[in-house]
Amino acid sequence: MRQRISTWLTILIGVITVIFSFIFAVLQSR
Amino acid sequence: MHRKKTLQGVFWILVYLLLTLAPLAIILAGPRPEGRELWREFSVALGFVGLAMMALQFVLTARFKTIKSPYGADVVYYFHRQISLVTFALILAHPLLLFIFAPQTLRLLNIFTAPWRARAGVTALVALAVLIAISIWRKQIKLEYNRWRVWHGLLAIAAVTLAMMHILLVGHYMNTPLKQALWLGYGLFWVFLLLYVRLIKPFLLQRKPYEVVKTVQERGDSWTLVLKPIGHPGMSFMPGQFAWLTAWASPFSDQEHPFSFSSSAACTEQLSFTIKERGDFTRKIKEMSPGQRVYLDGPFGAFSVDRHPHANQYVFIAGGIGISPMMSMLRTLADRQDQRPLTLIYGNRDWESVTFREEIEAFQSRLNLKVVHVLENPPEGWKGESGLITYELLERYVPSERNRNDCEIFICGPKPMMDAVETALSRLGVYMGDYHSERFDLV
Repeated sequence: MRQRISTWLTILIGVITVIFSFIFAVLQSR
Repeated sequence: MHRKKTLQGVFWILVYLLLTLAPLAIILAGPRPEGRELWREFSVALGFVGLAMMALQFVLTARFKTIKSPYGADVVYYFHRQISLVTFALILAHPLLLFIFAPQTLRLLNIFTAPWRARAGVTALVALAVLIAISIWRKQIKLEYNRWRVWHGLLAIAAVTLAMMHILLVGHYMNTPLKQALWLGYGLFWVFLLLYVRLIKPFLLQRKPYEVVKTVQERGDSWTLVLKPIGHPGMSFMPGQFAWLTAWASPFSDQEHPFSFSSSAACTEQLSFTIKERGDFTRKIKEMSPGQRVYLDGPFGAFSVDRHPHANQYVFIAGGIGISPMMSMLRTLADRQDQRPLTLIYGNRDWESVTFREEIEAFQSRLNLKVVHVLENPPEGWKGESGLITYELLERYVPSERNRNDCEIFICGPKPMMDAVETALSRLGVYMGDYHSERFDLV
């Protein structure tokens, strides 16, 4: 069960960072 | 208490995200370098957040108690392992996107002709790949634990250093002195972490040594190691927690092994760990002599009755040496004259290998404890439970009438047993937050 907490945390953080990376790319690209 | 821990947990997730995304914010701050294609900037962004995550792995394993306390050390270690795969995927996506959208960049893979910035980047990626591979398949490739730890540390330092060099040599996002200063700060923060883990922390541990009082042979190929603090008051811990033990080496050598306390938390003048002979290190526990100096880093872990003080009853499900943290909890509850109903479901191979058999029997006069021994190979005439700890068995002994947080269940033992018990409890409708597992196979 505790492993699941970490799995969800990992997925959450992975998704958020990819979204923000994309936003960065949109802002930074020409 | 619960609310405070949840808030702390959320706080640390936000800090993690902030630090992960910090490089992108640094780039966007102030005058920006000339923009390039969307895919190229996306590829670069993934590389940057990947590097930040890689550097943050050092924070996760630096054993800062404030970070670990809202989750427990096990969740932090699972996260460390799982996020490393995400990190690798992000960093791998960085060159892959370049190769897909600009195939001419494939020539950067040729280490003989590639510029140094590409060499550094490719080598960092290879170091990270090797690091992950030896961590996932350590047992299959028969890499000894201490040797693995050394390689793990060296490859991690190499990967982060080379990735930093890659960024510096590319230099595209270093267009203002402020950004250069921010990057320098980021790099220095990481160097400080390394210094803390490798030098400051070992130095502090060395100043608080422990001494072996005795080793006691227990049933089931196990030994109890009794320690006392030298020149300091010892360590306060919650029953069920664990500490990292360094023996036959200095704390600087990074040769530590995690073990659960088996002694009562009510007594800090003498601490004990009960350890089963399983590997190279654990087989040598019996050779420890009184007076031998050892070092402890701890306590860690969230596996404790003290994290759930409002429960009306506790159930302990142990397999073999998984009894060790349970003993710490039972001894502590006995010392506190706690009279709440307790159930111990204890699986073992046979009657002779039931570690702490006699002491557990004696507990029944001090505690409101019901003990259910489950033997795989019961002796002739055995009237108790036999076989494995199954769904049907748990259905008989786990209280069926319960509200949330009313009955807290603790599970510790071999991995297959724990997996089976967790599945069975879930089928029995036990609320996920009401059962807690301690796994010894974290690394």
